[in-house]
Amino acid sequence: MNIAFPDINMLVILPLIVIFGSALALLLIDLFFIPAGNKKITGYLALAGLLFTGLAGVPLWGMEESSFSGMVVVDTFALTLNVIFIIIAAITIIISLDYLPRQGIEQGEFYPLILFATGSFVLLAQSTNLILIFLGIELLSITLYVLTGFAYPRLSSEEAAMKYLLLGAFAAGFFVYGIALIYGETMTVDLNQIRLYLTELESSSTAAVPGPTLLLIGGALVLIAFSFKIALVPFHMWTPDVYEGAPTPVTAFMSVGTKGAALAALIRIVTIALPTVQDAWVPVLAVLAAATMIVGNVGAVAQTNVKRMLAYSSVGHAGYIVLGVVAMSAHGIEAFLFYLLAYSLTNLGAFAVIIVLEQRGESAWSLDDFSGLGQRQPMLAVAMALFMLSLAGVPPTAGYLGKFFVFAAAWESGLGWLVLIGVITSAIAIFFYLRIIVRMFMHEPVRDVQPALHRSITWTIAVAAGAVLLFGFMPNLFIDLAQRSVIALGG
Amino acid sequence: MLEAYLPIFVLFLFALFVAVFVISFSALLGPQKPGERKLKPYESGMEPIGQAIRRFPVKFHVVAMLFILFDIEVVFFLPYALVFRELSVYGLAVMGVFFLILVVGFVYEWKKGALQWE
Repeated sequence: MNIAFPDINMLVILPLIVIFGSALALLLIDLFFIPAGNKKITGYLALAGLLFTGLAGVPLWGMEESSFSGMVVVDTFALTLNVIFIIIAAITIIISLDYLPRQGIEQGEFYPLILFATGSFVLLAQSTNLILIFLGIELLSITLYVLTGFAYPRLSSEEAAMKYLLLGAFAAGFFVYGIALIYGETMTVDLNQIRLYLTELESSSTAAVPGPTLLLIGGALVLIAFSFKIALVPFHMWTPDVYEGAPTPVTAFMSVGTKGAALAALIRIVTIALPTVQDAWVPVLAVLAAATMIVGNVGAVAQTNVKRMLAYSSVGHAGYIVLGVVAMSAHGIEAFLFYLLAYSLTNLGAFAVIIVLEQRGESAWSLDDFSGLGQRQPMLAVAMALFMLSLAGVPPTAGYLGKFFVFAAAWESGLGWLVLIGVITSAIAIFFYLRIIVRMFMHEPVRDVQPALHRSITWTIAVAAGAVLLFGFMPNLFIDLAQRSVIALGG
Repeated sequence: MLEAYLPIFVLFLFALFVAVFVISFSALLGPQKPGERKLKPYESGMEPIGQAIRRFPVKFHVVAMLFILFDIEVVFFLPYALVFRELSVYGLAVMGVFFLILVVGFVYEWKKGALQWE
């Protein structure tokens, strides 16, 4: 029998096959074999699925190939991001293991949903086609809508899910309309083809031929949709409410994973398709980044709810990460990758500390709950202080180096004013990060909060704190990888 | 060129004539005995007048989701039916994988009791 296989390299989508396959299998295993009340097993199996996904990346290492008519690509950039995404998902699952039963919201679906969301991150990091990027964004959004409302019947969680769904659907509309306009101009949704179209247009351009107007309008609409997902000002309105209402592990997952995946796709779009029209989009993105840094950090100053404060701070950090994209240079992409890793570890660690302090029924999110933590739980307080210092960008933490790299990249690209705003807003940010440290070490305990320190979460916090310090002292451990990723991008 | 459309034009005129003829003559000659049921826009179905916001069984949303599952399936299977000879065994394998993913969703729904009405 003659089976005609089309010329498709299935190896390219191996990580995707593994992660979606394990998510589907996990859904069924959980349904048939895992008894209710013992859903931790599902969590452990999900960790195994993540491990396999990571292993699937090993034979692809160093490969640079695209497949499915140029829709999917595998390169060092994608594989490096995959590693970061797997770390994010693994930490999220570990910090959920005890949190979900304690809050009375333990259901097996949580872990397959995290796997599906992580799969969409991987998809976003690998796609070079607007339709596929849209698919990734939708998959990411739909799983996150469900995860946001996972604390049902807590009202704030339902409210958050509803807000996220309504605004997210709106953003999806912008994205599709943008793709339609880009297709109208270029007759393709493939990023490489769009680049070819633009180079041809530029070479044949005379005064009589107008520029790619439709493409620019479409690109602006796509940028709006991305700004919504990354939470760039003025499309950040949903962020504090959704981050506050969602179950804390989901907030942690969203605040780092979504930003990383959406920015990875945005980087593919701007570096592959739109480098010739830099003059049009770089100023727009620069202004968005500036507004994000200002609003995020100034907004956080006024918050007394720690979870809400971290939500505003994550808006501010989105601004800093975007600096790496705006720089439009090899150093910029490197800085983006390093910042993403540093910020992910730090933020997940900080949220893990909040989870430890969070009790069922009452939320330990007010500043008072941190008062005197230094006396009662010195190690926990030291770890939290380290995460706060890293978020503020104080040496010798990874957060400091991340900030330094993005500022340096933006400075090299002649965006001095943006760096100035970044430095000023970082100074503002130190105020509210230090406030928590002051509460922990210089105030007497106000309320008696029993920290739920289980072994898994204690180790997670310790490892995250260790990694934050490690990358603060030895950034070259990761920078080499980031440099090779940039070469893969052709940056 | 345009004369090719003449029959359609004739049909259009004929339809217009029949419609006007039937409605006007039944209005002129027919007996007029209006009743509550006769004056409703639809003879059967939901009550047309009432509160705009009212409760309805949430079970219907499960039906809607089930519908999407099978609807998508049909949307993808129909084009496949047209070309499945050219795609041969490879196409069958790909559609098998697609079907498997759908079945996972269906099994999940079934096991969760979404198909039980009461």
